[in-house]
Amino acid sequence: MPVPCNLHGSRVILPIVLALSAFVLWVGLAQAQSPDSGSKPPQTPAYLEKEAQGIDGMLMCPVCPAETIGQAQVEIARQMRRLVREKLSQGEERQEILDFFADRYGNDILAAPPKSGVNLIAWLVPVFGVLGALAAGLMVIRSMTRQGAREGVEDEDIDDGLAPYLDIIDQNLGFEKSDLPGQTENRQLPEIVSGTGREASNELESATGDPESPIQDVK
Amino acid sequence: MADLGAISLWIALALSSYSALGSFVGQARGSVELVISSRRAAYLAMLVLFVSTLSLVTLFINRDFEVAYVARHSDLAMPDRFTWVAFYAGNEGSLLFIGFALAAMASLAIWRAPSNMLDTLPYTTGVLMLVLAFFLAVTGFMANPFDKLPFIPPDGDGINPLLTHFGMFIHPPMLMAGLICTTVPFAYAMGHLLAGKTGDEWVDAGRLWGIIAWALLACGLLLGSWWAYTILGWGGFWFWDPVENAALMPWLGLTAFIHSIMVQKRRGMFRMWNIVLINVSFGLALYGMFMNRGGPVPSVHSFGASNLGWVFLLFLAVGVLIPFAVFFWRFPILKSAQTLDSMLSREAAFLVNNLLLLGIAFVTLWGSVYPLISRLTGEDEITIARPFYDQVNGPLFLALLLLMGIGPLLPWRRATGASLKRALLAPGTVALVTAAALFVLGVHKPYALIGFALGAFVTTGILIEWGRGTRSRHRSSGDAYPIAFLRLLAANRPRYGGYIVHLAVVMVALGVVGTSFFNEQMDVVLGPGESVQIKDYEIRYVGTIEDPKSNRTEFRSTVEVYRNGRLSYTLEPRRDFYPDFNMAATRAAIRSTPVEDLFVVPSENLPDGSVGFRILINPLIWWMWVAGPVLILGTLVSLWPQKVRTTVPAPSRVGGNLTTPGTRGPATV
Repeated sequence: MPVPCNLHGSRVILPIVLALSAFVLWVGLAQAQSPDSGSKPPQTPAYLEKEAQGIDGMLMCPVCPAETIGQAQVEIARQMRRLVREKLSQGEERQEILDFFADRYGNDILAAPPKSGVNLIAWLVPVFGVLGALAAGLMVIRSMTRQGAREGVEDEDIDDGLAPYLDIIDQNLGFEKSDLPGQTENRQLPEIVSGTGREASNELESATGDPESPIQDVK
Repeated sequence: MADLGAISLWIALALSSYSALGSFVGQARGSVELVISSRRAAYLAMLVLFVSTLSLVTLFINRDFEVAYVARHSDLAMPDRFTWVAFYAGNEGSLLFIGFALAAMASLAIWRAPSNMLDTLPYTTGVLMLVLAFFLAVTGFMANPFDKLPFIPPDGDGINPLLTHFGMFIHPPMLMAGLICTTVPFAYAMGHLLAGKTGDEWVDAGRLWGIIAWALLACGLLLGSWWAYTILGWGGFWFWDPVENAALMPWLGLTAFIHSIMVQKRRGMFRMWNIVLINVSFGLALYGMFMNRGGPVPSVHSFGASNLGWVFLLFLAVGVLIPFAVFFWRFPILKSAQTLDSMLSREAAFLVNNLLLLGIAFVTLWGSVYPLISRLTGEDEITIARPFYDQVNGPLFLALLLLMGIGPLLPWRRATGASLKRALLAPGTVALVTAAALFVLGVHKPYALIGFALGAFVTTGILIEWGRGTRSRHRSSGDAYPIAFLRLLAANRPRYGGYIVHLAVVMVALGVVGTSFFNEQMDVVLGPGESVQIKDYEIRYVGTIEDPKSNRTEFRSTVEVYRNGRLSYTLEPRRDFYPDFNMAATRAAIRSTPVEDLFVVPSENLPDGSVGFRILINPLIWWMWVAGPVLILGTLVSLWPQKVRTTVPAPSRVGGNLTTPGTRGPATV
């Protein structure tokens, strides 16, 4: 086999390694960004405005739709912004302040659910969903390449004229793979062409059915 | 006039229903007459809807307040040019707009359909008209813009002040048109499936309309961001608002589609996958319209709260289930024996790109749906907003950027390790040098470093390829370099148009990374004559003029900006208070340069004459708005028809039998 051999060396391992390293990187990056990474000591003027603005972006405004207190320009958002700064200047940490508001208003005051308890689902499902899809995708690509490499050897000397028929055989094989076991015996070549909208209601019918020619070419 | 509009709306509904029914029945029974008359009914529906649309415009221009919709969204003080905006200020008009846009696009799609699609066209027509009939039925029965009030009010309520912005002339219609335009490639694909075709006949037309829908959505999203930036007054442009998300998701799906369809066009592969992608995109577009027209999630776009939600939800379910049922019904004949030659090929890169795009769409969908699930199961009331998306989607976007750099460097079919190394060497080096240089200059945030490095990576890859191509053209034909470059672009428009779009995406990425990680924000209250320092700007508040207008009071503040102790320029941010709506609309004063924006917006006017200002320095955001025209240019280049010859399919290793179009269709067997 030609070129991609060096890749084939690590059959199943490669996607897994890729997925795992992506996961580590992802978590690492998310951690680097996540709230509790920067527990900076309060400086003059008793707190960091940047930190306060960060907290503003993590609290929803209770009265306006889909805006944080950092965005909203209503009175209650202003009061909450002031409260955040007061608490920061009293030396409270980001998490303490978020907890305070969550206790008072409920968890939906937080712009993102806490990464704990039931709410972990909110975070884990997308992360694992995407990684799973990527891993599955890589597996599919791998199996497609392997198939290609295997067939590549035989295909070289096939007469071009046979190609359409070979395709039909391929399609027929496709039929059998994707179907219920009991229904495969009736599969025949011409039946492939019988699929217009006519038998739309019933696939079984078309499976056992006649090779009637379809209505086409309405001009 | 109201009657004319209403009657033509009902006629259009009848015509589209007839056309849908006639197309399907006619094709099933083999009745050519019925099929042709259905097609003509589709054209006629478009014309009749045009009359209906014109009626509503006329009603607005006459300020015919007997019509409830006109009374609610305009008043005597409204300038006539806002008629265009008032038209879609509420659900009723938006639905009529969507209906007319769909009818117009459907007519065009049917009329201009390539001749090899004639046998699938009745199904396509049927699907298009079915969707149109749904929208017209909802408009007619549930949200009729021509409904009359029992009395004639002396004046209307006026237009929502947030809508009186230049961006609003283009952003909503573009998004609505883009969402509904997704129906066209979807209908081509469905027609293809229903007719039982297995070939690639729908690919060119599907790609064309897919790119149109994609570009409409992209421009709509950019304009919406720009609108949010200049008028919402908090200095950002994107907030992962549920309705923003709803427009972003179909755009992601279509991005995957227009890449993957190229693989089918060039290599005859991914047939099933493309149909899945367009089905998904259509489903997401329906979801987008559902969210916009009465969705269950609070949003800053809640302009048209209504009871339409359930109808749309139902249609959404049908619009997702039936196409997939058809897909699985046709699954056996779609199955192709295509194989990939190598993991190191453009095909494989496209597949991973598709997965990433769908992954982002999935995360976004999850984020908008999970709070509902959580509430319904009684677990916890939670909110999923920006911090969630930033953390989960951020890395995915970076991965996508990386792939955007690698993909174009890979050849079709397969790359050898050596050739790949050679292709990656220069862009990779530039990326690393960029990152190192920025690190030395004091940029230490990992995301930002990666983002900038990847931007440099993508850009270098594109420029190198252009440079090489131009040079070899210059050598072989003797053209001057600029002409050689243009000829190069003209020679492979889909590809190089795509590159231009990629550059636009890098520009957007620059803006996003710049503002997300390096912006400076300050909220201050300044009395007249007081000043404040932010970075190297000194900002001095001079005073405010209070200017009462008929429907609002304008507060125009004057702000002087000093740099290095010298007066640099004067800004005039504005805050308009609308007593009827009890709301304020702000116009930020923005001084924009490619390096950074200075953004000043008054957030409150206090009784003693002092003003609460929000002042921002937003680095690199300028690039984001410039990306819009670049993106349009790239799209036009890639859609511009090739005059002389069409692209020849990439030759296949196996004597061409796997890729040559036409040999696979049942017609040749």
